[in-house]
Formats: sequence, structure tokens, C-alpha cells
Amino acid sequence: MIPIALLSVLALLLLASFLWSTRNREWEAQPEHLEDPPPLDGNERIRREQLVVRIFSREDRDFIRRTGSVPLQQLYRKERQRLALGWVRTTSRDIAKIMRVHRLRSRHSSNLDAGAETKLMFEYLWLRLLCATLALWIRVFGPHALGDFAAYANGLYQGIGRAASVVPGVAPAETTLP
Amino acid sequence: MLMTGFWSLGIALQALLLVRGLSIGLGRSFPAFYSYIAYVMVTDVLRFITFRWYPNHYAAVFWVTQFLALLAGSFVIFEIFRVGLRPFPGAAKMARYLLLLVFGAVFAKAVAGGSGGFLAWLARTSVEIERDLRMVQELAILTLVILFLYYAVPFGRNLGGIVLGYGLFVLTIIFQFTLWSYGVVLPSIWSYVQSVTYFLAVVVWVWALWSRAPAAATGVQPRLEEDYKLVWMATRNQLERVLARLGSVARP
Repeated sequence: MIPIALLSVLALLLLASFLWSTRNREWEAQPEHLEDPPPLDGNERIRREQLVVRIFSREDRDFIRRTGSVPLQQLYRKERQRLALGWVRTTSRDIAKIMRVHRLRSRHSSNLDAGAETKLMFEYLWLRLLCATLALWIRVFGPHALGDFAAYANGLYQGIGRAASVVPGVAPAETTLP
Repeated sequence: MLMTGFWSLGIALQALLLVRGLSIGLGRSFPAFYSYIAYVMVTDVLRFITFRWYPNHYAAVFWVTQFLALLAGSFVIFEIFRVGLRPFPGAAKMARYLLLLVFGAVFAKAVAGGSGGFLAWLARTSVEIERDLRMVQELAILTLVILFLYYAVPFGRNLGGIVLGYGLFVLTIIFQFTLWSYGVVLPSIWSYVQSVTYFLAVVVWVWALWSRAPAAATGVQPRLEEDYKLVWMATRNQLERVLARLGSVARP
């Protein structure tokens, strides 16, 4: 019994220390954070969505490439990477904020469902992991690598769709990504 | 001589803690904790008398009182749960669920363990049994602390002091008993360190429970109870929106 129980005690001790170090007393003491944020108006939402698409879009990169200037390309890559990482960090912070508000609200609910709460916790951890992976990906391969990869996969998918349509007995596949 | 000094000072501090607690009404807020302190104080006197004048009976008196102290300590843990989570029914429900999970896992491990099962566990030495039970206590305390931190439940100085003092004391016992069972620390050093740790825990308690200091108002306390389903759905929708935002990054 000893090694597992002792390891569990140590693991919980570490987790408790981590939670202790990351808690934000000031934030938790401000009730206005618990109010639902005002919904974004249509223009604001579109502007934000366009910003994300623009940061990760390959259009700007292709434009800079056409200039043929290596220093400009390096500068572009550095700046775009900084922007992309900033966006990922903001998104990760947003996720943490959503969950913090959830915890502050659900702790008062007597009909809390422990199973649903656990599931939500795992979804939250999954999203945070996704953000961390995305940040690592951007650092290593640059902000456009995911788009390049998706474009490559899309091309491959369309190729398979075209190939399948010429094989007798096989229904034509959807040739565009949803 | 040093041991006797710690012993006497410890008893004096516990008496001070009891008198102070009862005079400012903390005894009513934490009945299990003050009963525990009263019990340990009486036990200390009893052990001191036995050690001094009936040394042959000391071991028996020590282990019987030690196991009763362990039982009393378990009530202190229950009190931490009851007092700390009373204003937070949602967090309390989650705590019950997690504690049930922890106790269930420990019980299952004890019953179906590879080292002979539950009966074999009962047949082990007093030190090993106490170490295992203290480990269960520590797991319960840490589970509660994690939950308090996760749901931002304020401890307050009084409850925080009780948790800190008792948690550290139990943790020290676990490590000492574990080291002792592996023959790392000599028995005389072990008993000396345990007395010092308990003395330090009492010092923490005297500091934390000198005056009434209920958990600080968080500002969110007066909020009406919310329907969990609505809260859950709102969070879920927000997380899904973020996921969609993340997905837009990989658009070809």
C-alpha cells in the first residue's frame, strides 16, 4: 500500500501547491466578473474573426515572398509569430477565465452534477492542452504551418475523392472539407 | 531533558489554546477540533505520568491513546469539510463525491491488495497500521484543500490554521513512519521529531485561533443559488465557441 499511497499524497501535495500559487484572490473578490459578458455586436464579432483569419492566413506571407527580400521575410516571420503567439495566449487566458467564472458560479449550486462537472473539467484541460500544443507548433514551425498542413490534407482528400469517383461501385465522396 | 521541556510547553500551549478558544466562542464553531485538543492534552499528561512513574506500561498506554487520537483527528477533518463548505453546497457535493472516490480506492486497495488482503493488513504492526491510516487522513485533507482552492472557497485564518497545523503534523508522521519502517531513522530520533512537529502545530493553532477570524467575504457570497444545468450549459457554449475559434487557425 505504501508506495502508491505515498505517491498519491505527494501528487496531491504538488497539485495543491500549484493551485495555491495560481489562485487570484483579487479577481475572485470582484463579483462583476460573474456577470455574463455583454454579447459582441455583429461588426465587432466579424472584426475579431477576420483578425484571427488574417493572422494565420498565408496571403500576407505569399505577398512578402514575392518581394524576394530575405530580411523582410525574416522580419515578417518574427512579427507574425509574435502576433500568433499573443493570440493563442489570449485565447488560453479566455478559456481559464470561462472556467474560473464557472467554478465561482457552480460552487453555490446544490444540484451540481459531479459527473458533468468532471467531464467539463476534462474538456477544459483538453482545450488548455490544445492551446499549449498550438503555441509549441507556432514556435517550432511558424504561424502558417497549420494552414499549410490543412491545405495539404485538403488537397489529398480531394484527390482521394476524385479517385474514388472513377472506381465503379464507389459513391463519389464529398470533395470539400466541411 | 529537552523532550520533557517540549512536553511541558506543549501541554501549557494546549491549555492556553483551549482556554482562549472557549472564552472567545471558537469552541462552538469548531467543537471537534477543541475536543481533539482537550483529548490530546489529557493524553499528554497521562503519558507523562506513565513515562515517569510506570515506564513498563508506557508502550501500551501510548498506542491505545494514539489510535484514539487518530479517530478524534478524523472528526477534525470532517469538521473542516462541514464548516468550510457549508456556504457552498455545490463545492460540498463535489467534495463528498471525491472523498467517496478516495476512500473507495483506499478500501479497495486494502481489501484486494497483493500483500494478503484486509485481514493481513489488520495483523500488521501498530506503526504500519497508523502510518496507513494517517495516509488516508492526509489524502482526505489534501483532497479538501485542492477542492477549496479549485472552487476558491476562502479558508479564513481560523480554519486555515487548523488545516495547516493538522496537515503538516500528519504529513510529518507519514514520512517518519515510512522512513522508520525502512530503518532510515532511529526510533529515539523519530519520537523526538514527532514531539517537535506537534509542538509546532500547536504554535500554528495558537497563532491562527487567537481571535475569531471567519473566512473573508468574497463579494460573490450574497449571490443567489444558481441552477447548475444553466451554469453548465453557459460554460459549455462558451468553451465550444473557443474551440471553433481555435479550429479556424487550421483553415487551409
